[in-house]
Amino acid sequence: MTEHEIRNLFREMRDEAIPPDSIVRVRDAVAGRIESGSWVSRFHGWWRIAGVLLAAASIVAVLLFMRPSTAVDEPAPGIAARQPETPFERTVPPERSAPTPVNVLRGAKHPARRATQRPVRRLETPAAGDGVLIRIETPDPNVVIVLVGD
Amino acid sequence: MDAALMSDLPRTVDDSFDRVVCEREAQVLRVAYRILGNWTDAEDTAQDVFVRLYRHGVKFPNDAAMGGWLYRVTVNLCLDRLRSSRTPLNLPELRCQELSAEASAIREEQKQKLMTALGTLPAKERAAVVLREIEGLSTADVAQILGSKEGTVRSQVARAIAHLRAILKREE
Repeated sequence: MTEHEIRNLFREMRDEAIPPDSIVRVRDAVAGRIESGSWVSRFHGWWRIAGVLLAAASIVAVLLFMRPSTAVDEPAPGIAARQPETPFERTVPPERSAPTPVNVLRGAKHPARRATQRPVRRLETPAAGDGVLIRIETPDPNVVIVLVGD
Repeated sequence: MDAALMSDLPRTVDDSFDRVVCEREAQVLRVAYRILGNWTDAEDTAQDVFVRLYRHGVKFPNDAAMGGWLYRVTVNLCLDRLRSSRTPLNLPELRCQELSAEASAIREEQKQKLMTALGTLPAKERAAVVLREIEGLSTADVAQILGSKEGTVRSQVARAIAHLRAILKREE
């Protein structure tokens, strides 16, 4: 048999009729499967949701079951240690008092009123009559800077 | 006859789907039968194809797209079935004499021998021959359906026909 004859035979096969009973069987089966499938697909979404809810409920139930019962009645150790005879008190922040002045000029020969003043630099108005314009006291009591002007 | 058969279908099935089944069942059954080699498996495969078509929907851009989709699903389901069954094909059960009373006995015998030889081919080569030679699709269409390159399809068909020739020559 040549290649040409083989191709001709194949071409004839293309035109052969399909057995009618096969067609009927296929149509019936397809219609039946679609009919039954429509009911399944109608409730498919609900079954999915119900399945998810059931799974979630099962997980919660298992977690509740596994939880020790003492944990419900007794407080946690940290809380228990804090509770006896020491009720929780609200801590009041201490009042802000004025800072006590540091007597940095202790031992100085100057009067005490100067102790509250800033120790490093200080400007003073020049005394009337004398020629001092600025008098600066330093931490060293022996050192006083005096600027004298005309 | 088709109209009478269609009246048996339940009315719940969409009319457009009915029409597609009516128009395409011969194509699907023929391809499935030529690849699988028996009507029982071909009918089961055709059912699966049309149920998939129903789920997919019958909205295709054109008739060729629908035909290509049906060919592709049919061939894939046939190949899956062949892979899962692994049973040797029994192709000579052709009922060509019932179908074509006018054909000569010699011609029918030749067809039976050819179908027997076709059953000895590897599944993918057989599918390529069925689509290219029996269904008369172009090489490009066959390549698209089988997911192969055109060159691969050409070589598969050429190799298959050479193999068939050798078998038929040995039997003569």
